[in-house]
Amino acid sequence: MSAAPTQTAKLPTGRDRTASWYEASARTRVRLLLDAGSFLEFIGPEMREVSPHLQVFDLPEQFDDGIVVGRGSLDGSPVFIAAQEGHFMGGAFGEVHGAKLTGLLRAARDIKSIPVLILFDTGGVRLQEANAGELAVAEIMRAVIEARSAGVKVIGLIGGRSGCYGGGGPSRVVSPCPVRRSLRPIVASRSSTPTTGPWCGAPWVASTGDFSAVPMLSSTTPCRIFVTPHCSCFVRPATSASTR
Amino acid sequence: MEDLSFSHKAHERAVGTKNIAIIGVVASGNLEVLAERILPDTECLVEIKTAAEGFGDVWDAVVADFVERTSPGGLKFSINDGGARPDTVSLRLAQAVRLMEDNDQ
Repeated sequence: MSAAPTQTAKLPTGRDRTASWYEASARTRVRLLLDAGSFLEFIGPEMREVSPHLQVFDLPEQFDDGIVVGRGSLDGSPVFIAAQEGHFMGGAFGEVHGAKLTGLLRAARDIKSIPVLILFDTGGVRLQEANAGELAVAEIMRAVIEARSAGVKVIGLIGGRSGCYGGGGPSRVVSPCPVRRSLRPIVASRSSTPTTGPWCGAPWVASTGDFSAVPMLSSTTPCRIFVTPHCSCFVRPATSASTR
Repeated sequence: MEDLSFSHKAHERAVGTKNIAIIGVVASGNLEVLAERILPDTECLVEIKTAAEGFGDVWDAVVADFVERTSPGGLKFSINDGGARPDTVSLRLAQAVRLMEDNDQ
């Protein structure tokens, strides 16, 4: 049923199918999701754009403030991508963390033609950052709406340990909307997101594996999700002509 | 928070041409290591920011052992520590050196 441990199973495109989305770090998710070697990070860890608030609380910082943003390609098609690191402060939104996502969404809004993938893994707003964190979430919501209004496809993938909660409100904006049904978030069965609040309907919830909503996705979104026996998932552009 | 810095002479230049690598995450009992190839070939610098204060001697020993084992000449390591144990620190440092062995595409 499952592949032998020694077997290094590869997808036709060369993607590693033994890795688990649920277990993977933000950087690993980005690396495995995109075409090999195509990822170009914006404001990488070497720039050390860390949170200005954590020092006050004697808490350690992370060089990327818990989010990886950049661009790359998915089966040759350009995408913008953001991935939250759920293990750093529960993937919570801080000022810098939020600003990186807002900047990415604004770039997508201006360029118009490149879709955005947001790999959520968050418990909400980083409490230590208080109003700055709340403000960051508000800016993200606005940026999502502006990007969508400009015709940009914004897709949320929720499959991490932290799910998508609280100030993960951006996911609600990305989420069901009567006008653009294709903007539902994709939620893996082992992960979770609240179903109260301004939802217009239920998100797609995968029944097995991490993301297995393949048939539903292919007809309405620009991406298709592939699931492996090891609960990994890979998003690839749908082969059939699909539009919003 | 406590800031620590250890400077060592390395026997040899670190293998590979990769200029930057990052591994790990800042979480309880874990740490992130950012490696950068920015120093002269025989030097090695390890800078640490840690939430667990008072363990300078342990860090000193772990870093000295690491430099002796892997000879990471030319590399600067910046560490954000969330209270990792010495074995985890050694593992992450070794992973960072391994990542730097790759050649940039």
